[in-house]
Amino acid sequence: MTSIVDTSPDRSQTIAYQGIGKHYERGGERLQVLKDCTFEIPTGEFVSVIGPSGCGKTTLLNMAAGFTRPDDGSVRVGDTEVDGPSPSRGVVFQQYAIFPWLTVAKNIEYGLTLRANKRPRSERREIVQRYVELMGLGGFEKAYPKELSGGMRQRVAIARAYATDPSVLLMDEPFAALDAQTREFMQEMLHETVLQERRTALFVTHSVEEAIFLSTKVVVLSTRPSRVREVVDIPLPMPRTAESRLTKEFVDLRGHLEHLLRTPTTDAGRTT
Amino acid sequence: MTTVTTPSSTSRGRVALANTSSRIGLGILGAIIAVLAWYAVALSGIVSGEGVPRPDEVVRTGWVMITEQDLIFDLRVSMTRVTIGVAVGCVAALPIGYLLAWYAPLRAMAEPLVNFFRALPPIALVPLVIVYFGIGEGARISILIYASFFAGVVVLYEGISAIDPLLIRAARVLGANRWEVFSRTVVFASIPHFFTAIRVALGVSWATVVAAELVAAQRGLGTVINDAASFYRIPDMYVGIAMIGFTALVMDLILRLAQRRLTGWQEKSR
Ligand SMILES: Nc1ncnc2c1ncn2[C@@H]1O[C@H](COP(=O)(O)OP(=O)(O)O)[C@@H](O)[C@H]1O
Ligand SMILES: [Mg+2]
Repeated sequence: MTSIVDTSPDRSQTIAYQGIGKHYERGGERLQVLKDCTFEIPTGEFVSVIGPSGCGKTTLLNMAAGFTRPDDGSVRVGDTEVDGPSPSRGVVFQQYAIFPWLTVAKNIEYGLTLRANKRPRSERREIVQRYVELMGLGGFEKAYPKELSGGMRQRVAIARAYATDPSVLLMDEPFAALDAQTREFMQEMLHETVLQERRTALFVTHSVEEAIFLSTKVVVLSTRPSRVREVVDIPLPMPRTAESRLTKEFVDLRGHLEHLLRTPTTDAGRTT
Repeated sequence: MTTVTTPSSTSRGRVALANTSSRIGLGILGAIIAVLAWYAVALSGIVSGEGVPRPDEVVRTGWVMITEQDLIFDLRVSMTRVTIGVAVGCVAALPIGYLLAWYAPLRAMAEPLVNFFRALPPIALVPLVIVYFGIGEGARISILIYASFFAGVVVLYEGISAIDPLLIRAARVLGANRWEVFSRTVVFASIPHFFTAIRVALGVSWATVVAAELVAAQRGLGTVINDAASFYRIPDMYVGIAMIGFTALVMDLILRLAQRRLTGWQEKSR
């Protein structure tokens, strides 16, 4: 049985948030979003971050992506501190952000044509073909984004992120804009991909169900100023299927996480 | 943002159009209504003095001018001036548009100036142009360049600064360096704005051609109108005006076709 839980002490792709503090100024007011937020995504694990809307999930992800800097603390991947975007950290955005002037195949190929990770044409074609198949985009290679449904656009974005072979993947509510059915389908597709293409992944979502289905661990944030409320292990067997959602363990975990999200934070509720 | 495109929007409160042929049909209907209204005004005599010539009189005069005074040559002269003016003006506007879109402090500095110069009526510049540039072809074209530049630069920097920053982020995380972000992302995302800028500049240039040809021009549609005015040949003025309108219309149509072909990937094209 495949397991994406790594027991080896390999920390080379571990994403470590250490004592993160962050505030924004808005109309002269100071909004403390994160305060002393510490957690880790061990190498090869798929970790979801959930929390109330506006609690700073995107801010946390943007720090790992290199778009935002923390006021206090540090974000490290392996043993290097993040200081700017890098193709070794792939990002999937909620609004897809695929290039409308490029076809599906050209979108997936984009990163491979840049100086930073240039590959010869034949290799590019192979990689594109591989992710087209993995993401079920066969027959749409020459289509433009405007011809695609939301789910397909997001699959293009995921394929594009995978194509440059990043060591970690950062996904910010990638399925939030999709209807419920498409969303489950996308979760299953992503899950299969993750099992085949093992990579450290940070997945931001506000869907408890989605977090449990995909993750090895779920980090629950408190309300602002956010810190880690609880890290919940998800010991469900791999690979997970539609049936996994119906098991008692799944339902229990969902109950527990939903309870955490519903009840207001008290300092006593904080564990690590 | 400045846009000349009319979205065939299906959003609430607007009436959507079924297809291209119905749009063309409605365009022709609009023109017919305008001609009928023109007849009504011309025949009613509500305009005193010289009155308004009927459309058929204008067409007849136009035909005479084409066959006997080589009006087509005037058309070509004006079209050349406008084309050069728009080309030079827009090419100059392009880098400036990018700079202003990219560097907010620069934009804050330049925006009031741009709007100041853009608002000046070209005809007010004619005496100054004569003083500094003389009365040659260059002087006439410089007025058109001026008008094209300021019209184009506004469209460009507004369009370019409205490019979705997420696309730029996406490019950066895929490994694009600064140059690649520009050449492989921003440039493509700006293509629709190039077209809009050219179309707006073209419109402004045709609207300016009469003023530009006040600078001692021998030929050109603007000169036709100016001369007709000095000799009180009212139908001739109408012919010149209609020619400018038609030519501008046709050139815009050609650009729109090219735009549709080159930016077919756009979500809400047309
Ligand atoms: N650039 C910014 N400037 C000001 N406030 C911001 C900025 N980015 C985010 N915020 C605020 O910080 C809080 C956390 O934002 P975000 O990280 O997007 O939350 P989440 O993704 O959990 O919904 C929100 O209240 C948001 O309005
Ligand atoms: Mg968010």
